[in-house]
Amino acid sequence: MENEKTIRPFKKIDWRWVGVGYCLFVVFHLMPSYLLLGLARFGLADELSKGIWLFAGLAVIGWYIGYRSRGVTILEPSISAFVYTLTLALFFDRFWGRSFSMRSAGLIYVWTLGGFVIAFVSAWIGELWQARKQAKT
Amino acid sequence: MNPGTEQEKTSSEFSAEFIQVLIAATGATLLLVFTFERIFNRGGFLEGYFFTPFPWITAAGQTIAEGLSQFSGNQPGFVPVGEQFAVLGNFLLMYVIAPAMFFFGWRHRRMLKEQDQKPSLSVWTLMFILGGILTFSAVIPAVPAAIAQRSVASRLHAAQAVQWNKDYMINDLNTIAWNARQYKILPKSMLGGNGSYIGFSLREEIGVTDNGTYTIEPSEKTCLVKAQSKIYSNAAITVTVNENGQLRDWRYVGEFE
Repeated sequence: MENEKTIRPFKKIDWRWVGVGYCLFVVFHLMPSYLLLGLARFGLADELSKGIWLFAGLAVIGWYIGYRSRGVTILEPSISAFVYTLTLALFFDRFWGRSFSMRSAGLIYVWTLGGFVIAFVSAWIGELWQARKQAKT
Repeated sequence: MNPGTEQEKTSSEFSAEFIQVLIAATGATLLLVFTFERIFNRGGFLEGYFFTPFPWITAAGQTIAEGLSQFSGNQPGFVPVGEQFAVLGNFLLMYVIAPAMFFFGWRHRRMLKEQDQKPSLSVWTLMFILGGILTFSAVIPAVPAAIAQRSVASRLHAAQAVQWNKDYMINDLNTIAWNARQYKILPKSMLGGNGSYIGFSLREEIGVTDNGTYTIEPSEKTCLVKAQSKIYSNAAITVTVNENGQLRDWRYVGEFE
């Protein structure tokens, strides 16, 4: 039997949140990243900072979805992040400063899996946060 | 179980307006990034012009490029129209549109708060967050950048002042070398050294200038010149006038190093 602190991420996928999550990643992660790439081209940011921004940005949005959504929403932002990083990897080969090709499929796998895991963990934390807040009220 | 229930999930969490705007913003972003990026940076007519939260850096880059071009002997040119529009677009987006979105979204949230309503995922939320991201991504780095700019400008001014003093002293030393050479080649009958630097002395207006103080140690074939800066007490130059009147063995001391 479930108690109040139990979170079951694989209960049922809410595909609306998957779609909305993907849109949130595009609008709130890709758009600022694209605008800030102007800085990177001036040499003020390096590969490391871009990598940190990639995963930190995903984590913030994943956390927000977990925290803001009603019910348990953990797998949804993870799937959104997976599709989002796949979109970037396949269609925007210059985004991360390196060229993707079929040969670099392994690298794409790492990026997308990394995005999935980051969003999963951050959404889980968001859900815990939400549960704690609601338990207080 | 997590406090959220299935019953709660059945009622829509998003307004139709929010979904429409979010989808539109997503499509616009993907179009901008995946299409315009290729036009901007893959050989299109706007190649090289890209969005930046700091358009003044682009403008400064244009100014420097123009200056270098003129320094290389080229005629002054006009900034291409595409580049002008890129800078104008960056300014409008980052400093007009984004703050307006942010403050309108903020105003809406405050109004909801006054009516004891909770902000929901709506167009206003989208404007508030997106406008906030764009505004703060431009404003926050601008503060340390402004401080760093002032510091760099101060250091550049100081370095330029040292370089100017050094250049003027080198000019003075060339004058001394020219005088020493004249003295050496002139016969004794014309108050010269008759092939030697021995007896050469500096006139007062050459020995002490606004830039530095100069002393010499003449010998048969060479003349050692020591120059002490008047402005920077630890900055000095030592150089030797060789038998042909050329300045050789430059040594810079202190801030001239």
